[in-house]
Amino acid sequence: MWRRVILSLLGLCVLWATGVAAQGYPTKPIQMIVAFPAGGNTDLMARALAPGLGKELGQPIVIVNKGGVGGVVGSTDLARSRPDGYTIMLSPNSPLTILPHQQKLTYTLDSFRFVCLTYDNPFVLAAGPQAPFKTFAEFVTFAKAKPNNVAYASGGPGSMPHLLFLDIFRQIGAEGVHIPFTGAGPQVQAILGGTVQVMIDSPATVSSNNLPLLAVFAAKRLASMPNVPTMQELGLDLKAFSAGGLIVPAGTPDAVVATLDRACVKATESEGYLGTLAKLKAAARHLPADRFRELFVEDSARNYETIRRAGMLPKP
Amino acid sequence: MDLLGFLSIGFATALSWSNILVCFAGVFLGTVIGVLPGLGPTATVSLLLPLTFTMNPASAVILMAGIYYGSQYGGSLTSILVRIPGESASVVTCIDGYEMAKRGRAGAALGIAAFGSFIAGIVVTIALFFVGPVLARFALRFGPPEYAALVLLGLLLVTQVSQTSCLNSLIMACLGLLLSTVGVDRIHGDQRFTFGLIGLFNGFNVAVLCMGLFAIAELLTSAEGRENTPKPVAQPRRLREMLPNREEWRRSTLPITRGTALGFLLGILPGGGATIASFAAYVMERRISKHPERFGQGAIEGVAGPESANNAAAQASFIPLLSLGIPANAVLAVVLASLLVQGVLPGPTLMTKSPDLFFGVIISMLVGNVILVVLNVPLISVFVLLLRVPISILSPLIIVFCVIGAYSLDNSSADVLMMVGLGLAGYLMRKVDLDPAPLVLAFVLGQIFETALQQSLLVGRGSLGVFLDRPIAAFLIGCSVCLIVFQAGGAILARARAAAGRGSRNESQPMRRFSRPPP
Amino acid sequence: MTVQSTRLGRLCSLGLLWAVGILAIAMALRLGLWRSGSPGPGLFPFLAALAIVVLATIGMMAAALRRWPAAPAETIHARGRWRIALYVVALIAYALLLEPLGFHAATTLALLVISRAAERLRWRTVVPLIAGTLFFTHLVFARWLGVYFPAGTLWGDLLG
Repeated sequence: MWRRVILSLLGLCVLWATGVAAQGYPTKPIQMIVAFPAGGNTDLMARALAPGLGKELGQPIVIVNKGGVGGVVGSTDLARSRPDGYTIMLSPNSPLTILPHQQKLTYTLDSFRFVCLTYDNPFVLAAGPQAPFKTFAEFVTFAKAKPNNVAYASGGPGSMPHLLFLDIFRQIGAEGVHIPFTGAGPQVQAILGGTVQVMIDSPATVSSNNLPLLAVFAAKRLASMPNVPTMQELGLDLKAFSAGGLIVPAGTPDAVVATLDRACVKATESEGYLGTLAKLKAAARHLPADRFRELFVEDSARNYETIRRAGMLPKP
Repeated sequence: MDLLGFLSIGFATALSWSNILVCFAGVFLGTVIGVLPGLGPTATVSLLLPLTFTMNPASAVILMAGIYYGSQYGGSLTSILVRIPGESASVVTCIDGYEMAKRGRAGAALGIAAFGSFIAGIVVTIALFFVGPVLARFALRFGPPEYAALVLLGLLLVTQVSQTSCLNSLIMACLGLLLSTVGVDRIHGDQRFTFGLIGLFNGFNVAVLCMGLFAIAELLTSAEGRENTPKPVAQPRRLREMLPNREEWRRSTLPITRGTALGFLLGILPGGGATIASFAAYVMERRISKHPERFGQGAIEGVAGPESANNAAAQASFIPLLSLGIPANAVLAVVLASLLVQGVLPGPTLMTKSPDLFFGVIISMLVGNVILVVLNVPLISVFVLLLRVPISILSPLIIVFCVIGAYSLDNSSADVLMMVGLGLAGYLMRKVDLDPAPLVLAFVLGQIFETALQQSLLVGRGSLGVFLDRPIAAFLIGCSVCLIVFQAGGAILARARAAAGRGSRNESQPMRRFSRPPP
Repeated sequence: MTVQSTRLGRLCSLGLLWAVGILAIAMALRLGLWRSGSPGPGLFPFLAALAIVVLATIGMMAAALRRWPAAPAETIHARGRWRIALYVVALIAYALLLEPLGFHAATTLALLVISRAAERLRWRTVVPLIAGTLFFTHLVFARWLGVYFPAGTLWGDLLG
């Protein structure tokens, strides 16, 4: 009797599967990998996008958090999964444009197809409440007064803020002490307690404690903080962003990518999406596949240069 | 606005019908996931995160807070009944709680855990209301050197959590420290002991460690010795006889008080957390006790202290979150995310900008604790029935729950595989009388210690003087030195006395875990 | 009752830990103990592993010198040994097959091995146990709590 049950169940599965194959994409729920734990920045961006995207595609989007090592685990998983459009990922730049230069990984930028950019988060340089400087100019003077005068926080060695600080200090001709932390919480604690004097993070993180904001990494000033100058205005050549979008494994058919992109355009323009991002002080921004890829390739080259200069390339 | 005004706003928010309902839902769900081995509060609040996007912010935090402290409540259950800690904060409860259950006092252990948590919860809520924000400011003075010094103190206590010989505990503690270094180094970014396996990049998750070393190991041990295991001691049938009796209450009063105070202080420190609080409370009770030999043999103090402490710490940790925007652990990081999505920025101004949220959440903890005790105490008689379910049916179920729990952490089967591997290791450890409890504590502390030590050296620009320049750090280091001197002196004295008395005693006494104590 | 009550058991267990310690020391040395004026990535694991080796050495010496009581009779039932082997196999298979087969199939398989082969429960207990577990976990975890269960990657290849 038991065998009969199993056989009939198997039969049902076969029937269902052949039915699936006959129709067009998408015919079943889509799994969206987020390579960071729930509640993180990327996760929130994914959760903001998922309902709109699901509505446009006519199938629910299931968010699966596969956190770990700055996004390596989830990205590796995506690169290995079937390129049928039922496994997609919302990824920021760092796992794709920084980590492959630092660790020996099984994927590169070419392991993925780019679908569309969905958000572009600026970074903000903030000072601690006890820091002896309140503007960028004062920060530069203080940092140059003697070597290692400034201690700065980052989310870990080789994280985007760490690379940015390396670049800032190189351009202003000073040296600072890097103190790595795990996650945003400990960094906020360190800057409030005076362990570090500066940190770089998203506007939502740094604005909760009324920290003095020194500069913003964006093309133009942010609407939510109009008094904070951009890095360009301050005369530094620093392009940095924490932007992200939908990617799929390389080899995904064109038709699937096109369907996803059409839905993505609509979803990024939807009111719900824009409203959630505004609350998180993040900027929605849609870019089509080619420009999205270009942006990441450029970022990758820039990061490679910084990492090489800092001597952080992996040992052969 | 004055405190009275805040109080009335807090009550108005917490006692609205919808928020009472939300609070009930939270603590109920928390109890359920605490009771089910495996799925922890982190996974649960993560899963419920999207749901909170549409709720009002105060209700969202009340719900998540309820899940968090409710799960601390429920977590004691599996520890006591089947010696399976759902997470690291309830590891110590296993030690004496399970022994009590074996001796027919399962109901008393569950009862004291529930009442201890309740008392701790109420006291901490009141304390939070009056001094929470002030203390949170003070907690900011805890930089890396202070954490390193505090954790050093904790590491010195590590040999005290086990009944096995000092040498065995030390070996296990060092193994825990070694395991805590697996994964990508937080300071340098190097891969340590990963063997190139991507599943090891993250290191071991402490929940996986607990489920493997305790739950799976327990099931394997019992699978092997099923023919030898005698029938369990009968538990009393009536609820009244199950609950702690007067003598047990008398012995628990002070431990609950001390556990509450300790949990409150460690919970206020961001990153202090429920785990350290529960371990520290256990060790403290054992040190203070006039009968330390009773610990490990079903001492009710060993349940009352840690259970009060972990609940107190869980609730206190909401203060750094709300008043400074600093999440103490992964659960609170998700709560922070939920607030951010709602456009609420936690921070020093939250108390005045949205007092309904800040004080509503605090007052809701009073409500939640009352609901928990009303919900749980009558159910004790039902829970104790679980002991009558044959282990041959229970163990496959526990395995499924643990697999779900391990998988849900990062949706990765690598965690499941690690749990199985650690389960096998834990089974072998038991066979050779090595106790995994010091390992877990050292693992938790080791991660904080190494990072904090490295950060301190960076802060001090490479000089160890940073520990002596800062008063709190210097004080804590002083405590550690005193403890070492005290312990070493005590051991030498005891040995001299023993030698003078009746000759040297056999040092290592194998602990008989699966043999019945003499009636 | 425990293996520790024999000298050989104690020596073997400590010897294994000793070997783990030596291996870890070798790996830690390769990571580097000191880096640009501050502790390197290998220092902390080196110290922990060194302590394990020292403590295990002390333990082994003590065990070798100590007088041991006569070894107690072997108390593990043959059936217990068989059962534990089945448990281990089922657990490893469960972990490895979880993603390829999907949660439901892998759980069914693991429960079949454990409850039927290892625990020797009757079919009339096994079938409701498996069905009940699948139903309960689906309802509570997948439905109410929204836990993600792997659907199985193998089925697509096999059928599609």
